[in-house]
Amino acid sequence: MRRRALVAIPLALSATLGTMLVAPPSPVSADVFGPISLISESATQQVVYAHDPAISGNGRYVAFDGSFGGTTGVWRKDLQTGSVEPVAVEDQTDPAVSAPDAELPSISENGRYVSFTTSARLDPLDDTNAGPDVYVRDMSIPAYPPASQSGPAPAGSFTLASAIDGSAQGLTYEPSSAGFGSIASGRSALSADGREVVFVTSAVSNLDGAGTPALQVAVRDLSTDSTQLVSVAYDPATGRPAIGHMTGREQPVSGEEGGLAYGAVYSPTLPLAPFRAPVAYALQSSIGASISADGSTVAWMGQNVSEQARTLSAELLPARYSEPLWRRIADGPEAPTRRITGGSDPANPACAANGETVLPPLASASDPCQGPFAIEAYGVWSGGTGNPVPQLSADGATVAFLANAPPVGATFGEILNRSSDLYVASMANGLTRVQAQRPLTELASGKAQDPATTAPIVDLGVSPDGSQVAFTTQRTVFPLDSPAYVTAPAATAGMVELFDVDLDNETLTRVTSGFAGGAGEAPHGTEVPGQDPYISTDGALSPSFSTDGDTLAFSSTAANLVYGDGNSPAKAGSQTFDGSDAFVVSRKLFAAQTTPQYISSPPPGPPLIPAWRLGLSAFSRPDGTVVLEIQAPGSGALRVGAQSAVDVAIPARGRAHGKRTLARRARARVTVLERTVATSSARAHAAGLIVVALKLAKRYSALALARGGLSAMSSIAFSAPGRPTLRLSVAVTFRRTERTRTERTPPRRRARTAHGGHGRKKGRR
Amino acid sequence: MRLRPHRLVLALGGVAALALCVCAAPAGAVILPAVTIDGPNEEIVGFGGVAMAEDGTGGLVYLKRVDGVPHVFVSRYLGGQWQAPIQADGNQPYAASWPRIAAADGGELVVVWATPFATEHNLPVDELLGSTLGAGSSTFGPPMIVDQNIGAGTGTSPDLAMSSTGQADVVYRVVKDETGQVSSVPLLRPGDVVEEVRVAHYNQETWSDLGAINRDPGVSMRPPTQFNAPLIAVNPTGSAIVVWQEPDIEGVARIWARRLFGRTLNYVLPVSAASFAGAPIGLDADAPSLTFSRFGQAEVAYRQAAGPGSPLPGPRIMINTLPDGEAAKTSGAEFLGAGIADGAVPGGTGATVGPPSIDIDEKRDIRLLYDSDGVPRVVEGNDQGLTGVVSLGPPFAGSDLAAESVMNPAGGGVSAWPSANPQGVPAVAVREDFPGGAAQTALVSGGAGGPIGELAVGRSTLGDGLVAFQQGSLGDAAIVAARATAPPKELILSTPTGWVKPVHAEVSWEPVLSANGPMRYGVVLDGRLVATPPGALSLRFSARGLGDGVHRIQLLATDVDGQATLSSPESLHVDGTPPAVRIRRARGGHAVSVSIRDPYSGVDVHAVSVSFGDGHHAGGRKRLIHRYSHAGIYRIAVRVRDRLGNSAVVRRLVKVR
Repeated sequence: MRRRALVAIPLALSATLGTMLVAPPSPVSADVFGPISLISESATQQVVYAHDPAISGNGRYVAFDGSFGGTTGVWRKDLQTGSVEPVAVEDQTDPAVSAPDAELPSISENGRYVSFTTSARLDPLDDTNAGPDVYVRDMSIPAYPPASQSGPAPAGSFTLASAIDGSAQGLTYEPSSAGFGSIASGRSALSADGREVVFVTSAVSNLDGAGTPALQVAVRDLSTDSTQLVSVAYDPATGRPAIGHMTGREQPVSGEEGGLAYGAVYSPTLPLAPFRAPVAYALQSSIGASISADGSTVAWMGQNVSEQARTLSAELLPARYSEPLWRRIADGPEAPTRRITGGSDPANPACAANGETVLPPLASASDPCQGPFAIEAYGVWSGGTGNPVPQLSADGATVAFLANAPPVGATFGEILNRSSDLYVASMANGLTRVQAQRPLTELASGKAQDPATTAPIVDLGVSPDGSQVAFTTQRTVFPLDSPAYVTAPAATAGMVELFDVDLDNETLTRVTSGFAGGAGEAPHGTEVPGQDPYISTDGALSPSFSTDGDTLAFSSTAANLVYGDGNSPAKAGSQTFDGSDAFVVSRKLFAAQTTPQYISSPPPGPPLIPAWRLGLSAFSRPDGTVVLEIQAPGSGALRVGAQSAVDVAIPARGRAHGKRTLARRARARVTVLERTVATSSARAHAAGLIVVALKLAKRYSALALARGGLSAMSSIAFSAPGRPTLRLSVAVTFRRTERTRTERTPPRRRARTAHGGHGRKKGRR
Repeated sequence: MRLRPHRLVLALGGVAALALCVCAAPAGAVILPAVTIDGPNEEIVGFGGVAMAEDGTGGLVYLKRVDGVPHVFVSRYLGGQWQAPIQADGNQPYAASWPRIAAADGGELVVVWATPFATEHNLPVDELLGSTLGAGSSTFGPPMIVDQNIGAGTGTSPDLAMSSTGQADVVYRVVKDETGQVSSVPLLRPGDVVEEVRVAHYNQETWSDLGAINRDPGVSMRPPTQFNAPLIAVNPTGSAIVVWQEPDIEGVARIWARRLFGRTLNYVLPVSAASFAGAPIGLDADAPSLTFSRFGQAEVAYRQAAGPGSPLPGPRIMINTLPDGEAAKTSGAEFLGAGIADGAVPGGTGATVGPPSIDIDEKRDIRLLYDSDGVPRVVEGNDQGLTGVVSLGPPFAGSDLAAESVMNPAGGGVSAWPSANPQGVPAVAVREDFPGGAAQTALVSGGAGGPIGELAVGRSTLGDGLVAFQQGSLGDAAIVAARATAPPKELILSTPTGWVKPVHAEVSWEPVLSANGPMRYGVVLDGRLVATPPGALSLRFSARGLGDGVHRIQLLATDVDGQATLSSPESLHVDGTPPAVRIRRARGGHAVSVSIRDPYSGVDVHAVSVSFGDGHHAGGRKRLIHRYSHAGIYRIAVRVRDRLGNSAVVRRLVKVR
């Protein structure tokens, strides 16, 4: 830096010290996504429809379910080679490996393992029921050989995950009819290593012994063939999972209300609806659970919440009451199930201290037991459009979820059939639920029929590091200040579009748009002015992130996201064929720039020049001493003394020269002289308060007992090298009003000394 | 003497606390490193300016392509942070151009821009639109039409200004495209255009078109450039003034001005000089810069070209003042007359003089920055005239790039100009001159570096400045912003009137005006910083060691950037001790003299009583003499009290003859 060139006037020269700074990374950059790519196609053909895409952590593979060339099932797209491979699909030539209803894939970090749900018996030895089961496909073992080599799938290609603990034998279900069994959520059911699968039973099973109620959460570890019941009953006495007296194990969760059997997991319908083939224009499953990529944590939308997690001691939550629940299974069998959010927050230490046993009827944000949501009969999630399965970050510490209960203090909380909003919560210890949770969307009006402001959030996904949350909705107005909506909104509500919240940048970005600009569109029926021609699940669904959070996979029924999308139906309304496709879109990354900047030193602040003066206050203590509090201006030596007039007896001296002389000397034996009665010294090492106690010299100490004490003038001198000596004087009184144990009686007059004495002289008035 | 009991433990604790609070304040950060607001990328296609309201909030505006179409984006500056950019032109489908921004208190922003909305004779017809970002809002409101027909939007160059209360005015050009037609107005010079200078007023709800304000619609104008664009300034009361370039009857382009009172236009005032030293000026004036004080004084600086036969020795920056009418012997009805702002321009008629930037504060102090042959020169002045010129460094880089300078009302100001570091890498030079006379300089840049594009500086009435610019070539451009913060100002400290006891020694202060809060306050007692609780607006001193006498009290206010301001000293009169008693023998040792003195609050003589020990008493005076009838030793007791009630009984033995 050429300092002379920078500063031209002397004053500035003194202030200029070149400092090289590196511009910090932009804290306010908006997210920019690149063009959308259609991936549900091979080099020769596009799928008929594709749903539920899930991207591998490394960003290379996308698994989806759909119809490819008329063949339904789960497929895997290799984004590097462009090839589309069957994971579990219909095979009319080989019924042993035919899985036409396979759906809801999740995929491992490297794309090798894909979990899915199917009623096909791909492991005929262990899978003996007709209901849906959860499988994991190992894509490194070919399962669909040429027709000439048809037969059972090679060992290891399909592994039954919904199996009995410690065995490869599949679960059995009651009723044993088709449609009821085990289900794994799409995208979030498989750990990153592909070895742990979370699933939910949709029927009474032998998961935890015969008669295990339906709607239980379990994790299968494929490497050990163990199956762990995750949704366990809670013991309020211990704060840990309850142990059954008969079984000695944790207990599954069940409850009954209104003649309906409720399990641990929310179900949109009771009695349960049977497993079904993929349906057009719809979320494919509302039952399920998520497992974190590291396999440590499981989350699910729970019912029977009082049976599973801590509530206020007198809180009576109906069995149908639903809340997202969270359990860190890596902490061992004693790890309790925790509430992610809630109407109440009994774990708040302030709540425990408050002694509250039930929430008051009117929710109050100042109530330490009040959770983020006003309590509702149906809970935080009361059904409706939207994916109720909470989504986890890779370490399970961050949870994104949908809720349609009104937050405490919500502006539009009175709306009936309230649409869902998106929230994210931290499960880090030490946070109350109110502190842990933040809304990412908020209703923009009270108009329930206005999709632009109140359309539900339909689907969601969270990036492995928890910094990105993707969601889909028809909504176009996002009134929250943070995250700030930084892209152009659609003019009117149309199809369901994909959005991304960047929690690091606090921005909300609209991801989907037509390749020619404008909103996503698809053929639809006749438009009625003022009405949205699309239904609330027509558009983008199933967002999932790669590990770096920079690539998003999603499905959409929109026909104009990429040029040449040719599978859209001419008119919406088909029950099976919606022309949905799987897409990926990548975040545009801008290289970090380190532009050198030079900023001279700032001018010094205003100088503080302490005055060279002493401050002093003094007070008497009952023990007869005087305390001086001296504000020293710096380091130096302090000398303190006290002078007082005392009566002094002068011994007679000299020879007698006559009667007059003798008499005069006899009168002069007692006189009053100024004497230093106390001294002290101290050293100040720096400016500050110094406390000095002045104690009467022994020969004068009894004077403090006199009525009114001994008045004296205290002189203080403070000297420091190179500075003028500071002097102060103050009148003080040595007055002793308390006596030690040995001084129960007034002290007698002491013997006079050669240098002075004290005491009353006879005849003195 | 009445003495208070204390405990030594507390004293030691106090010492420790005092030792802690004496730690030095952190070094202040004043010019802060530039941050990249957006980019670098190929989508950023233009910069529209930066604005700062009186309270230190503000924003910047730029153009960014979305799906290939340029749209208006704004980053709001609020709470000392740049917020994520948001789109301001809503659902407008067509390309935006000419974005401009203005700011009002509380983070309110108004932007205007031009966009095509129709075609006429196969040519696009643009409209001028405006939108408001409310103080508590996170999205811009729907666009409102400012002017529904601004022609093809050529050379519109709007200038937008806003009062702190949200009243805004915009001035802009409407160039009538008469391609292929016979001009309705005779063109004075080849290349001249037919144009109107229009003004519109925003009353926080709607825009009102005030129409064309140029003086003669029958005169052609110079072809529009960035240096002859009209300007407008609004003061906090909502009054405005507009300046523009327009040829006079001789065909020479001059600078003109008009005041606006709300929606009412005043008469046209000539600004630029038509002659110099008695000789006519026959060359154009351009590059006006305008500033408008709270009380209505306007300062206009402009560039006056010179050539052969010109009475000027070379191109010069001229300055002219429209008084506010408050100053002596001025009416405010006309400009005082243009004069040369800086005579020391090297190079004669071949000198290079860049466009000026001028600012004024409430005290009528002015500050003008311009490029004098590559050297940044600042001209300072006050209501008595110009007071001095200083050259700043480093030099300008590039030609005809605008420099910007704004004032700190407390003194000094912030200047920014396009420059380069010693290696020739483009950067923006920023210099902040502080009220106390010190200065800080910086070379800031952002994005991926590259050439400096348009540059703008905004300032608050608190002295803070925002510097924003576009850097990098199109295709790799970034929007970059830096800020120069000013020290806290207007420290108001109150101390008790008269003498107080130490326990009543309390000072209080008003919250300090600063955009860089929250503030930390520290009370300075006799030059020593005393521990002051965060957020406190008053402090009661500890009586311990406070001492009697007149103490010097100051307030040290420190903002989040570490900048501190020390108030001027106030006096605190403390008296915690009773009057001093002096007893002496008098009259040959047969009497005693008692004198009572209190150098602080004074002796309450009515409370003085003396017992001389021989049965006699006296009082009511500051000095008493008592003669004893017998020799001996007597114990004198003197009761004293000062006017604050500090009292004591002093007992003393005396021996009299």
